[in-house]
Order: sequence, then structure tokens, then C-alpha cells
Amino acid sequence: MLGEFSSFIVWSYAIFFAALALLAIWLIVQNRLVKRRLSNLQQDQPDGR
Amino acid sequence: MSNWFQNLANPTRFMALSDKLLPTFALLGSALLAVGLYQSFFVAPADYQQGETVRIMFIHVPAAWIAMFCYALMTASAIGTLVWRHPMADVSARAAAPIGAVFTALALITGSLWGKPMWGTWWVWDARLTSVLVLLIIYLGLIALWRAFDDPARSARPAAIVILVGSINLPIIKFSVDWWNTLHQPASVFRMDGPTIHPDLLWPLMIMALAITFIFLSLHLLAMRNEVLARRVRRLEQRAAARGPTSRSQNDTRVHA
Repeated sequence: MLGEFSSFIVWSYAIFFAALALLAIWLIVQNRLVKRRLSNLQQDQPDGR
Repeated sequence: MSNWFQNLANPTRFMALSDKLLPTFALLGSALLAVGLYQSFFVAPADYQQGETVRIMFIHVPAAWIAMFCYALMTASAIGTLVWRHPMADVSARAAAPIGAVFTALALITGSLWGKPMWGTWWVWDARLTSVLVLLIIYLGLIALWRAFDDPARSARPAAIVILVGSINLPIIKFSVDWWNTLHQPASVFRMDGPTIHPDLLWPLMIMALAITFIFLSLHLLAMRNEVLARRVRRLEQRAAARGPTSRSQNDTRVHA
């Protein structure tokens, strides 16, 4: 189905979705880390805020 | 409308709203992506000149559109920072920059992978390709500018000014194919006299563009939430530092006692 230029199509789609997946994973990991840091800091606060 | 914007100035309200919107956008984006990919590979016909390679268009064009849309969003945010001093405007611009940079890089890479079989070259210094490369450099420069400041409040204004100056590149990108003689083809979707693409190729392209727009919005909301939380962390760290080691050790004594 992909014809003679298949490698260009496959590489385009592979790079595109790999980059999007990496970006999403990076943001999700960042979210977990910042939430954990915030929760630790809130526990350290004398007034609990 | 202005009330809605004022409500969003409160980060707590933004967090509550984005908590509901984020999964909706992600779900919509994923569902549309599944339909769009099916249409792109199994419904859309091969092009009479380009053959199967035309299928690169279904990711290249949306990536390029989002790269520009993201910068337009940052420009609106910069105006929000400079004119209304909206507290979420700088958060929005700062969160959008890395995502915009990734989409711009993807537009350049997929364009290059499309250019090689069609034009016989990976790269050519024509006006469209060069102006998109300039957009990537602006994104990277802005990320570096934000990182150069310790305090996000101090970087908001200079970054907003640079964003506004850089926005001059958006019409240059859009009209570069009309103003200069470029190897890149002229606009074939957003034209005064209507699209010149056959509907069999246009529909899958529009579905993919909508899917990738929703995915971009989900990523942007997530990045904005991270930025809001990071600023809260920074405030708490400053408060802890201001209390100093004495009060900290008193706390520790209280806990251990």
C-alpha cells in the first residue's frame, strides 16, 4: 500500500508520534514531581498551607 | 466574556476548570486521531503526481498550523501580560513555548522527509522554510530567556515584548509563498477563492488537524497546570527560606518532642 517511498512515510509518522509521546510523558512526569514537591512543602509549613 | 477572563485570573479557578477540560480534550483528540489516521491511510487516495508520499501531508500540515497557532496564542498571552497584567497570561505563554518548539521542529522534519522524494533535496533556503526555521529559533530564544530569570514575575514583561516583536514572523510565514518565488507550494487550503485540494484528501487533512489541535490544547493545559504548581512550590520555598533555619529547627524539635 505504501509504495516506493514507504520509508519516508514511515519515518515521518514514527518521528511525529514519538515526539508527541515524549512530550506528553515529559509533562506528566513533571506534573508528578511538582505535585510531590508541593505536598512535601505543604507538610513542612507550620500552618499546614 | 471579560468576566470569564477575570475568573480565570484566579489560578485556583483555572486549576478547577482545567481539571475538567484536560481529560475531555485528550479524549476528543485521541478519538479524532484514530478516525483521522484511518481516513489518511485507508480512505484517502494516492495523489496522481506524488503517489503515496502525499500521506506525509496529513501530519506535516497540521504540525505547521499548530506551530503558528501556538505562536499566535503566545502573542495573545503577551498582550494579556502587557495590557491587562493577567496573572495567567505569562503562565500560558511560558507553558506554550516548548510545545510550539516541538511542533515547529516536527513541521521542519516531516517537511524535509516529504521534500527529499518530491524536490530531490532535504532542505532549500527558500522563504517558507527559512521563516519557519526562524520561528523555531524564536521559540528556543524565548525558552532561554525565561530560564535566564530566577523569578518568573521579572521575566514576564521582557518575554512578552520579545513575543510581540517575534509575531511579525507569522504573516511572513503565511505570505512567504506569495511574496517570494519559493520551491514550497503556495497555500492550498486557506485561500480567498477556496481550497484547491480534492475533498478526498481535504477531509482526512481537516480531521487530522482537528485531532492534533485537541492534543495540543491538552498538552498546553497540562503544561499550564505544571507552571501554576511550580510557582506555588517557589512561593512556599521562599516562605520556608524567610522563616530561616532557626524556626525550622524549632519546628523539627516540636515534631520530635
